[in-house]
Amino acid sequence: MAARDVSPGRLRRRLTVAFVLVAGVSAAVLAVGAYLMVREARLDGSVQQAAADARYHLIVARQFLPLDDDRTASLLASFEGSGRHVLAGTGPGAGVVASNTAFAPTPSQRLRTEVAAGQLAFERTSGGDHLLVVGGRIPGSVAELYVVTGEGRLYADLNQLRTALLAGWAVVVLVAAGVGHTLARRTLDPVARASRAARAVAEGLLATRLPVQSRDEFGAWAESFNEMAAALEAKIGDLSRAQARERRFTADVAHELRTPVTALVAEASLLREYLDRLPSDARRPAELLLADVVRLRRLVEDLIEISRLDARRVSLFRRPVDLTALLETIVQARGWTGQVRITGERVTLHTDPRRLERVLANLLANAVNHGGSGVTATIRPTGDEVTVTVADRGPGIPPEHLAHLFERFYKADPSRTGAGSGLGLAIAYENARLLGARLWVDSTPGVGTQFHLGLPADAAPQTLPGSDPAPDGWAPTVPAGG
Amino acid sequence: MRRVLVLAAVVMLLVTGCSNPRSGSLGAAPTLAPSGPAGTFTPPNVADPVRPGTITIQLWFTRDDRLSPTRRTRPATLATSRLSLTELTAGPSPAESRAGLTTGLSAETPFTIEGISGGVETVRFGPAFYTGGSAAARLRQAQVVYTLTQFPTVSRVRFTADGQPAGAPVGRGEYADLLPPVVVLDPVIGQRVTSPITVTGTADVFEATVNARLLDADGKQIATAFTTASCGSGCRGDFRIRLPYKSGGGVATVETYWVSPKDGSRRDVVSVPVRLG
Repeated sequence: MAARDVSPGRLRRRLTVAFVLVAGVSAAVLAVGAYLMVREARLDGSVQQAAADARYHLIVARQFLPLDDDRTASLLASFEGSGRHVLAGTGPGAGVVASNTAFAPTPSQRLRTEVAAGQLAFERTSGGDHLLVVGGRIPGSVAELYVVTGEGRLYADLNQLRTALLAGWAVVVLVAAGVGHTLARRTLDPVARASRAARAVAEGLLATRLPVQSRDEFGAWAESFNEMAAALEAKIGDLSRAQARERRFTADVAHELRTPVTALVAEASLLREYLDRLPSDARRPAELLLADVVRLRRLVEDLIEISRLDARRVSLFRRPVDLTALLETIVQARGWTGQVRITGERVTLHTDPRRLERVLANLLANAVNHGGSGVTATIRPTGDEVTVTVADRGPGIPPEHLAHLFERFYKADPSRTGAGSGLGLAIAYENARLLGARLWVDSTPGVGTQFHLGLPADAAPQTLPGSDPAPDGWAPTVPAGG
Repeated sequence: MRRVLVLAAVVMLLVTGCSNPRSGSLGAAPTLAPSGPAGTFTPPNVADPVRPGTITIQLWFTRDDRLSPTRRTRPATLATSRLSLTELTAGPSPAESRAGLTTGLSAETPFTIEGISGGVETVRFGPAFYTGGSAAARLRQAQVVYTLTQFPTVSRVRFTADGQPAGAPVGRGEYADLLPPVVVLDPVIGQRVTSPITVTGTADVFEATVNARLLDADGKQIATAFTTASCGSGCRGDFRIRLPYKSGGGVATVETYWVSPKDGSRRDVVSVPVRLG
C-alpha cells in the first residue's frame, strides 16, 4: 500500500531535476570558466597593446622636450590629432594636462610613484568610463606622459559574451530538462508498466503479462515477471480446480445423502411416536438415535445450502424489511425472549429477509448458546451502513482463532461446538456477502464477543447470472461485489 | 556544509585568480640617449609664387634612387602631359638639385606622346630612355608613370620603342617599391609657407606615426608635431600634419620622418627647404 502513496511521476521528476542540475552546473562552470578566461585574455591583451603603444609614443614624445607650454601644447595636439588621448606632466609632483578633457582621469598617486621611479605602469579607472591609463617617463627627462585608452568597447564585448553565455546556459538547462524528462520517461516506462501489471495480477487478472521489448535489464525483468505470473496463474488455477472438485464432491455427497436422510427422519418420526411404548432399556438409545438423526438432517441441509451458495445457485428477493421487527420475530420464534435484548433505532432496509434472517438467527443462536442471558442485539445506522451488533458475555474467543472463525468446520473451542454442524458461521458469512454486507467479529477473552453485521443502507440491484427466476415480479439480484 | 565551503573556496580562487588587476607595473619605461642636433642646411632659392592663368603640375624626380615629388607652375596649356614630360626632362631646379633631387631623363631623351585611349596614355621614347641598365630604365619609367598619372584622364602608361610596345601598360602600383617610406607632397622645395605649415604626403612607417619638425636657418627646432597616417607598418597611408610655429621669417627646413622604436632615431628623413612668409 505504501507504493500507492507515492505520487505518480515523482521519481521521473527527481531524475529530471538531477539531470538538469548536472547539466546546469556543468554548463555554468564551463560558461563561468570560459568567461573568466576570455576576460583575462582580453584585459591582459588590452594592457599589453596599450603598453607597446605607450612605449613607442614615449619615444615619439621625446622630440617635444623640453616641455614648455608651447611644446606641451604641440605634444597634446599631436597626440589628439593622431587619435590618442594623453596626459602630460613636466615631472613628479607637477600637475598633468589632458589632451582631451573628456578623457582626463587623474592618475593615482601609486601610478605616479611608479612612473616617477622610471616604470611603465598602468591603472584602470574605477568608474563606469572604462579607461586604461598607461604612463611612463619621456626618455631623457622627468616629464611624464600617460596614454589614455578607452576600453568601453572591450567591456561591451565582455558584456555581450556574458549575455550570450547566460542565454546559452539557459538554453542548455531547457534542453537538459527536455532531454532529462524524455530519458526519465523512457527509463521509467518499463517500471510503470511493471507496476500496472503487478496491480492487475493482485486484482486477479492472472493472465497479465509484460511485453519484452529489449534485451537489457528491463527485458530480463519482464521475462522474470512473466514467468512468475505464469507460475502464479498455474498454481492458483490448480487450487481453484481443487477447490471446485472439493465443493462439487460436498454438493454431491449432500445431494446423495438427502433422500436417505429424509427417509431416516420420517422413520425416526414414527419411532418418536412409539417412544413411550419402548422398553425402558431401549428408550435411551432410541432418544439418542432421534437426536443424531436430527443433527444429521441439519448437517445435510447446511451442506446443501453452502453448496448452493458456492455454486451461486441462489436468488435474492428484496423487499422492505423492518430490522427491529425481524429481530423480534427471530427471538420470539426461538424462545429467546428473556435472553436477548434488542436495542437501537428502528430501521427499514431493502433486502432479502430470508437471507438476513438466516444470518441474524445464526449469530443470535451462537450468542445465546455461549453467552447466556446477557445477549444484546443493537441496531446502529453508521453512514452508508446499518450495523447490527450481537454481543454476548460469554468466555470470549482467543485472538488466534478470530481470523478462522468463518471457515468451514473450524473448531475454535470445544465449548462452542455444541450441536452445530460447524458450517453455521460459514453459511452466515456467505449469506452476508450475498447481501452485500460485511461480517466481522470482536472478542475479548473473559469479557465477551461481538459479531457485527454491516448491511448496506441502499444496495444497487445487480443481475446474477444463473440465478433462479424471481417469483412474483421480484428481480433476482446480488449486491455489488457479491 | 563542508562541500559547500569547499565549492565556495574553489569559486573564490577561480574568480580572484582570473580577475585582472586594476593597476600594475609594466616594466621599465623606455630610456634613450639624447637625440643629436639637427644637421645644418643651406637654404635653396625659393620658388616663384603661384600666379593666375597658370597651371601647377607635379613632377616626380628621384632622390637616393627613390621617387621624390615636386611641383612646377607654368602658363596654362591643354597639353599637360607634354608639359609635364618636358619639365621632367628639363630636370630639377638648382635648389632642388642642392636638396638632392635628380632625374634619369634629360633633354637628350626625346619622347612622343601618341595619345590617350581608355585611360592609357602611350608614350614613345628613343633608345636612350632604356639605356643604363634595367634598374635605371625602370626608375625612368616610374618617373614618367607617376608624373603622367597625376591627371585624372590617365591611369596607366604604355611605353613604346621604335614603334613597338615595350610592355603592357603600367600604373603606379608597378612602381610602388620605388617610393621612399615617407613621401612629402607638400610643401615642396623652396615653397613660401606660413604658420601653421601643413605637411601632407604618404608614408609606410612603423605604427603609421609620421613626425615633422621645422628647423630654422640655424638648425634649431622651432616646431614639431606628429600624426598617424591612414595606414602603416606594411601599407602606405596618407598623412597630414599641422606644424604651427611662432618665430619670424627667413629660410627654414621642414623635416618629415619616422622615429625608430629601437633607439629613437629619426629615420628616412625628408628635408624640404622652405621660406617662411
